[in-house]
Amino acid sequence: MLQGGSRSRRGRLAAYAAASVLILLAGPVLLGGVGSWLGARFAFLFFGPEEDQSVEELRAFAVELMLENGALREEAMKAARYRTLLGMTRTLPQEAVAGRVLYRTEGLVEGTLVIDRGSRDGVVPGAVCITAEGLVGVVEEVAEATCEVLPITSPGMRVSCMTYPSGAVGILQPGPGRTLQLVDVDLSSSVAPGDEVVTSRYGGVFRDGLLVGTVSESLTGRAGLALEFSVTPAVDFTRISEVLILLEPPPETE
Amino acid sequence: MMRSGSAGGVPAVAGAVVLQFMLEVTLGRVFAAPDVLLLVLVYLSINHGDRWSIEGAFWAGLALDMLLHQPPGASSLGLLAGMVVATLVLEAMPRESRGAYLLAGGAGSVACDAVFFAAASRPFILSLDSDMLIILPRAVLTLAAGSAAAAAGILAGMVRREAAE
Repeated sequence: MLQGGSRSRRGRLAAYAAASVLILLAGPVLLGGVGSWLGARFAFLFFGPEEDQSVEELRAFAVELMLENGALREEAMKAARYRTLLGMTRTLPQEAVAGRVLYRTEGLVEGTLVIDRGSRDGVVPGAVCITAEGLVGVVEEVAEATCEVLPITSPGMRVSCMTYPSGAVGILQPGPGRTLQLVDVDLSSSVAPGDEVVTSRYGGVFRDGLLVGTVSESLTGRAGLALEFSVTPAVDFTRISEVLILLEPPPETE
Repeated sequence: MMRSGSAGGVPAVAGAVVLQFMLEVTLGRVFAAPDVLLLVLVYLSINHGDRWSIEGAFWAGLALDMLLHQPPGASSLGLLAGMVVATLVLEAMPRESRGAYLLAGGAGSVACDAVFFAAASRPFILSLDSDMLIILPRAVLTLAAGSAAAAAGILAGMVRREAAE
């Protein structure tokens, strides 16, 4: 039979039960704290101080490299974008200045784009703003360091355009939503969906040949003396970040 | 701490802790594991003194908690409770017998597991659920393991007697 049942047995039982409860309540904290303390002080016995230090250095170096890698990736994306823009400036007969979209103003109907280039960079009101994809709009207001670009999707914008390869002339104006419409197109023209819409020089604002969009469909069923077409913009106006602003050529000196 | 004269029991308890650990990570993961450790402690407390029902239960439980990554102290508390119940059952028995030993082991197993579940639950007590139903199959398996051990003991005794004759 089990021995005991005495007062000392009850005392021991109570003591060990109390110890169990104490370990149960404070055990993880004590074990964790003591373990951390021992680890911090005696880890060198197992790993050696030099190795431990080198591991810490390598870890810090890895973090540093990760951060550097992220920054380089962003720079690479920017470089690719600038390369495209640079290619365009080489083909354009005009000087251009690259700018970054700082923010968009929210107008009642359509906001404008605020660019980090202004009068000190040679930007003037009426300057044409483009991206690698195509025409963005026209500079409306210019401050010293910033300018405001009115996109071609704004209600007041009208752009004289031509279709390619069909060669029809028309006026580009904003349509419903963020679409564009090419109106006043000659009835005898043979514009087809897929034709590119580019600027013409007839308006006097834009140089010719800047891509605006692509004819998506003919707006049939409307009575009138001219054809109308729906145009899909070449530029995604919600994702513009870098632009080129075409500068006015300097006055020729004799 | 355990006193002198208990040296023979230490390897037995250490072996029982390792065996219990192996059972918990194998059978326990699939269904339920018997409380072999409790049976060994009951056996040792009957034959080698009650220190095995207190100090033995405490240290063995602590070692098992460390091995199984359970809340430290939960198994100790459970084993202490199990040993108290087993002691009460044995004291209530009219005479020592293998049946009494088995009954004490089974009752101790139920008490041990109930207290263990309560102690290891987070938050305490409130998170107890149907998982506690595993206590009954564990008790049955403990009885089965004890019966197997008793049968093995009887057979070993018979073989020894025959060899002696």
